[in-house]
Amino acid sequence: MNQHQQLPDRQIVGEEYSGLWIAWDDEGIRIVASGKTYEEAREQALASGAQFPGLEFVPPLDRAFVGGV
Amino acid sequence: MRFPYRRFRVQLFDGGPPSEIYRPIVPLVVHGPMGSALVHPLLDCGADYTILPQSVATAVGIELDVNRPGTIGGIEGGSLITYPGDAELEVSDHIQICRWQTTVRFVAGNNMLLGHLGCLEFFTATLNHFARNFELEPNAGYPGLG
Repeated sequence: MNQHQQLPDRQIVGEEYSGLWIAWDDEGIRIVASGKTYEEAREQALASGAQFPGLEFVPPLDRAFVGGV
Repeated sequence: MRFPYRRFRVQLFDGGPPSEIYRPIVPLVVHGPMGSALVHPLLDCGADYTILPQSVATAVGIELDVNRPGTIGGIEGGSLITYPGDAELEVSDHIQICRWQTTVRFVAGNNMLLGHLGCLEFFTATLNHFARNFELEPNAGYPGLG
């Protein structure tokens, strides 16, 4: 069985979101908002109609992400 | 519970064009006295603590204990001050739901990591980069299973 078939068709997180917070729609498939802060992205997502957006910070493009601070 | 890896387009160090990279990002619901928030932290088996932004604590009304600061450090050599807060966390793959009470370390800024204390102490994690998915299964440490 091809396990890739189980994956949802989720939008790739593009370079344009580097260093920003992004907000996913209620299905977690599409990015509906972005902002420099958690609050900004969340407010934009709620204003766009999302009921329970998922928030995520995208590490800056020019730095490899290793989970450190 | 099985989760897909999240795809990111990044510039790698090989000088080539941007390419795709995959990271184990977990949909996590943070419950507090004033509401709930869905965030997507990185599953990090090298992290001692579970770390979330203070902005998330504020959004759901979690009170931080400013009398118990703790410094965390990473590979970049930097350090951040964290404060503990009691939270109820929830993960789900839409088939199974796991929800547990724990203490999270909250930081100013953008860091979100699911580390050992607060998360991985309760789960057995299996990462399968080839199949582009990873699994979290409650272990004997999970509340109610021990």
